[in-house]
Amino acid sequence: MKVFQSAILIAVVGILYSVNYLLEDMVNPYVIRVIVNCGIGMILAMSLNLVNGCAGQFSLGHAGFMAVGAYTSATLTTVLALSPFFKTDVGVGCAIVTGGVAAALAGYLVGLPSLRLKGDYLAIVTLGFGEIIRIIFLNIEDVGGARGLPGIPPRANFFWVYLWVVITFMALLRLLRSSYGRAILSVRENEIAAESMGVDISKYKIVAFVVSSFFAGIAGGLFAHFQSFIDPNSFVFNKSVEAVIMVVMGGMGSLSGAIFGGIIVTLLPELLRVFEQYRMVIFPLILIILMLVRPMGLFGHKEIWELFKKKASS
Amino acid sequence: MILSVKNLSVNYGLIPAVRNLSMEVAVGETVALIGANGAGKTTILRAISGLIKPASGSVVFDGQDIANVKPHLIVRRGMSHVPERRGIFANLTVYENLLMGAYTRKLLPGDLDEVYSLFPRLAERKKQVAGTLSGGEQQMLAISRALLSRPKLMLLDEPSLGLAPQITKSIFETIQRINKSGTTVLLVEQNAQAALKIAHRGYVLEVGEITFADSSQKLLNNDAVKKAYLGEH
Repeated sequence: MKVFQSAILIAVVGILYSVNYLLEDMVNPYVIRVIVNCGIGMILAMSLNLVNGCAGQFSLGHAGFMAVGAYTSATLTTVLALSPFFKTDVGVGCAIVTGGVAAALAGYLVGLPSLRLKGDYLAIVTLGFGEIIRIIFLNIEDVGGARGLPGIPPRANFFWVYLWVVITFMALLRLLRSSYGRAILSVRENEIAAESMGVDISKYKIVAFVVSSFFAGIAGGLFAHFQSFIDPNSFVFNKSVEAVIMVVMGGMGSLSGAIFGGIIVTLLPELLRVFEQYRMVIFPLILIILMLVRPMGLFGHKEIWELFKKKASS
Repeated sequence: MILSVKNLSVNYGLIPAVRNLSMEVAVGETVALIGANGAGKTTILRAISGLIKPASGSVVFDGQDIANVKPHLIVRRGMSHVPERRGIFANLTVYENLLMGAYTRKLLPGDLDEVYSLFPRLAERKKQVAGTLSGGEQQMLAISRALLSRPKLMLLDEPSLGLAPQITKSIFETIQRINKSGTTVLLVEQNAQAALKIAHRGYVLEVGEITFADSSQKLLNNDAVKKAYLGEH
């Protein structure tokens, strides 16, 4: 089994690498940009899905975690870059992971109020957190303040972003299928019953926040090293709302749903460019229609493969 | 005594819900706690299983004071609580709900079969999402889930709630079977008749205080109890 898994992993890396090669050779940079942004959207949506969809908490500050990841990693590869190592693929990769860890720490701090607050109230606390983070970066002159941070080595290409999409997907899928994952779901379903089963609900709420913000931080780091420029306006409240839309659209608690949500919310506005000034009227209209047709999101609580299995058996 | 509650008081904010209550449950017994709406029955169960903190008093379970122990740790000591309105995980399947029941320990191969033989209906529906079960089936699931933590003492909060008399009867028979196979049961009920029929002893609760405590037989024949709870005049 171990051999089989590593074989698949090598195959995935190989495929991603060759696709990356082909893309850079044959497709125009705009299309690559959209595809990579879809990947970043997927990671963001999958990570938020863990808190909002699986653990049943309501976070509206995901852009904040993304900002922590983006600024931490970008600072390491620009302002603090002590050696040329930090401009290489490996160096940037380390910086991005460090950004994820920093975001996870922030997630721990924000997770603490979630032990006492629920629903709308928690949403307001996380919203406030997201804004505070943004304003802190706005006021640190060493990372550019309002002017932003330029000159970030653009090392995150299609290959690295989609490698992280695969890692995020596998990690969260394994987490959700373990007894850890079931405990997280039970917190969403019924806190009192979960406690009566012996689940330490405080612990699992925090775990959900920490893991989720780690991957949001990764998304932020990739974003920074793809754009090669970040400023506090990249992480406004709108970005958090976008992440929530991705999760709700895909279906709360559905990992594959989050992937589709990430694609739809990133891709639709681009596809709608043909409508020019009506673009931002048509985009929300499509979202409204989608929600009316599928009120539980695309896949509800289920995964895409479970939907097909059900159809096949009935 | 597997459970002894002494001078327990519980407040909600400034309002006292339970005052100076003492009760005991011996190993192997089924004890019923009966009383009207708002008497404090659910509050007492929640205080025993740690879901709410008592203002004062002690709860001694299996020789140790657990009044300030967190609920998820109390489960590990061998007490499981079937919450009011069953508290099933509605979006998970029956099977996943049962797995959650064994959360605190390793599930052994025969464990699920044991539960399925107690409630064959659950075996038929194990892949179904629990929220789509009928009320009776949900109660069966809640009881099975609590059993899977292998409790020494099982607390049941209104198992008859919202069930047809026929189903109530079969649920209570199963509770009796569970008790006979060695699990001590503390049962909270509004349906005093059904509860006292399967219990060895009973406590009658009125606005946060115990007014009668006796064997089930004697309570069933007690005129005051009859008048207040058993619908006879």
